[in-house]
Amino acid sequence: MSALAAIAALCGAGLALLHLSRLSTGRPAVDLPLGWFIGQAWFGLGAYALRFLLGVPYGAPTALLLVAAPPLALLTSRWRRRGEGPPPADMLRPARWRPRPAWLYGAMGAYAALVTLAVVLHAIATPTSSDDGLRVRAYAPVLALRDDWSAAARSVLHMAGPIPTWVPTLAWTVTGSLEHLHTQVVVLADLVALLVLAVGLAAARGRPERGLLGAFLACSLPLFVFHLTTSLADAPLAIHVAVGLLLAAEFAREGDPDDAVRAMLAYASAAMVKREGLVVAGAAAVVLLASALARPDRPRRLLARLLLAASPVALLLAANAAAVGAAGAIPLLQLVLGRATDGGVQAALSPAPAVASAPRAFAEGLFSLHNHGLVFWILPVAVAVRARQALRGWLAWPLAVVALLFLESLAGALWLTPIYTADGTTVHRSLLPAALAASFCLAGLLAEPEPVNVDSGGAGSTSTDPAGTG
Amino acid sequence: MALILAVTPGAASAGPGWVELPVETLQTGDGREVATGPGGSAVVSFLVDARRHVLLPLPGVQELELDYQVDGGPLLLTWCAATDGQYEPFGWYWRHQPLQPGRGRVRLDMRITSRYRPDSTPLLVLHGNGRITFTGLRVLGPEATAEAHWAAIDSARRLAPESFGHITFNSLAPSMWSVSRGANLHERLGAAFVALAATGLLGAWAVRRRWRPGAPLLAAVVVAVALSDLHAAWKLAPPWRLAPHLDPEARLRDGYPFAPEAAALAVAARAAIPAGASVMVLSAGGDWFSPRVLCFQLAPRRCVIAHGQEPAAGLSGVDQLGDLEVGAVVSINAGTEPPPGFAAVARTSPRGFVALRP
Repeated sequence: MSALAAIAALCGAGLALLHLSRLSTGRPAVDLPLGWFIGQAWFGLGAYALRFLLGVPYGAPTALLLVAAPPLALLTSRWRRRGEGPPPADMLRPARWRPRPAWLYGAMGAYAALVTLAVVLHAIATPTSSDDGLRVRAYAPVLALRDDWSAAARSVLHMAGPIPTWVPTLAWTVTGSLEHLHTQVVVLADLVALLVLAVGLAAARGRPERGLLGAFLACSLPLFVFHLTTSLADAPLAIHVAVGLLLAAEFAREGDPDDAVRAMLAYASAAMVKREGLVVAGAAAVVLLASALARPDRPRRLLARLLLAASPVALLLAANAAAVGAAGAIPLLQLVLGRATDGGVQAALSPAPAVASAPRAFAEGLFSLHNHGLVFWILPVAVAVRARQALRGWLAWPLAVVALLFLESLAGALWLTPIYTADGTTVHRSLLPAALAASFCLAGLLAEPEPVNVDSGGAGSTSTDPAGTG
Repeated sequence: MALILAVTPGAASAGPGWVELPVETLQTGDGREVATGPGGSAVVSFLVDARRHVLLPLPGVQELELDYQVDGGPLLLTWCAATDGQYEPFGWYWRHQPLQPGRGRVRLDMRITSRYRPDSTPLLVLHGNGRITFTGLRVLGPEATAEAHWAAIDSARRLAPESFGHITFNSLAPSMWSVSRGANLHERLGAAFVALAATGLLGAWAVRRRWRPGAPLLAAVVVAVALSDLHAAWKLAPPWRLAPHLDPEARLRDGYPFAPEAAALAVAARAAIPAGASVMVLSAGGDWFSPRVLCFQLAPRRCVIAHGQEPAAGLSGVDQLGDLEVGAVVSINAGTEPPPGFAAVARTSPRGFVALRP
């Protein structure tokens, strides 16, 4: 129960931040899940920065202050302004909740709900049982609760990232009792928030089919589904990136600058999950910036807003530097540099036989194993078949994110740590963000209305098939 | 002996093709005791001290059913195939089952284990500390022909359930459409999707004479993903725990099916060790996982693992404790008696105990 209260509190903090920054959509199905992700970033980064930049010890007072500050600021702000601003843009858009055909998309939604229920039940019945979970992901919150940061403890924190380290501890600090289950509950909340956001956002923009198909495809990734029950941070990282992708896709489709800013905030939160988060989210953020630059309208103001939204990452880097030294401020940089200069630990990690068998192992991971369902079979076919929508329309931007995430996995698998590809230890996990992002891109591509030529001899008037089913 | 006499052989439960065998067929190496059960049939009993192998020297056994009684601590039973003197108990196809103290019956499908072929022999690996008594043994022998045997293997492997271990998070086990031909099930599904999509798209184009790929593509995707989901659900459902477990201790006790002794010991240690005490986990042998489970489950208590001759260190090397700082010891397979200055307060097996400094 205390875990649920902690989730509600963080969700409230995130909602308050959305309202303060005038980024609320006015749609609860969008704002609530988005508030959860923003609230996690606020809390995780806040505790991290306070602890390592200002030396403020972590405990119940700090935790409660962090949770209460945004709502208090919002109340103060409302009291001072005493007037309602203009309604959010989403309230002016026509929402549609009933998909067409309802039986097909309803079945997809039901499947996603069933998988979510199974994930929740299995996760709450199963203690942390993966080696990485015991030593890193689920252990980092224990270290945060103790607030005793030896060099080894800081190394664990650096690997886990501030969100997985501090978010599960909120209820522990307040109640004074450690319950490992909270680490898993946070992941479950991530899943529920992602699915609600995917469906809610698509419905709020008049395309519920896209959201339901995305939820269905996301729940059809077996390794992702399994990871949600392991208390590891790979699935949460993929989820945070997917949240940013959903919002960035809306920006590419409709051009609402607020969507771009929301997306950048989500990417900033993804940077706070795992050591790899910065690299994974960074690639997606670059595409978002490029899509903003490509727009003819107000790019300068939008760019300024995007950079402001990305500014928490600067704080993250500063806290990283304070925690583990300047060389570790940008995670994986040392690894990449060591590999690029062909020296150090990586040379020993990548003996020639491993390098030789890594491409085959990577290809097997994509097409032979069941980890990512059929997504890597379907995506190239769908892009080829609907090439015009995929490459020339708004979908080109989210697909570029998928391509970059995939290339990052490929580089990691074949160049950075091929030995872990050859032995199958990390390659499948590293593909989770690309696989989840690909699922939502596929949903956009498959549920996108087809241009229908209704030209009766006039000047090329066209319409679209509202159901997207031809 | 009284214990052995108390064991009654179970009735044969298996169907056609199954054969009841004397339990003496099981080869267990040194220390095996053969006695006569109440019905006049023999029972085989032996001690498991950390790890014990049991071989059934009958090539081609497809399935076996064992009646057993466990005394002492919970045991972990792993079954695998010995083929040409090679066997692979762990990895992707780690097949395991906890055997809790008391009587029970297990049915083991050899065909879903790694390396299994029609000439493989069953090998059982028991981990833990306690005595196990086998009171009944039934087997499903080989098929009449090698072709039929391979067909049975293919059928079993195609629908084999996932078996979770502590490294499953790296990858789920590959599913094979046909082990005999080396055909991967997932590749078949992917190829079927491509064929279905191509057929649908061409068919729609032929009917409409217009390129409108949306509906046929979506239909192909939905059908292919539904089939993939069906297979995933079939594989994942058996090991998933779908009954709510809200009590943390119950969740812990039943939640490590591949480390039952560590789970039992963790429950005992959490109950016995004061919140402020620092803990040393003593372990030996090749079990690196159980000590980590114990330290993790005892958090936020400081905890170090002393494994063999290695210097004691906590999870990820975080905790370091001097000898005098240690207030409690949890031992798994490292010995039968607490170190000097400590008194045992709970035992889960002869070599699994919790001890406190008085």
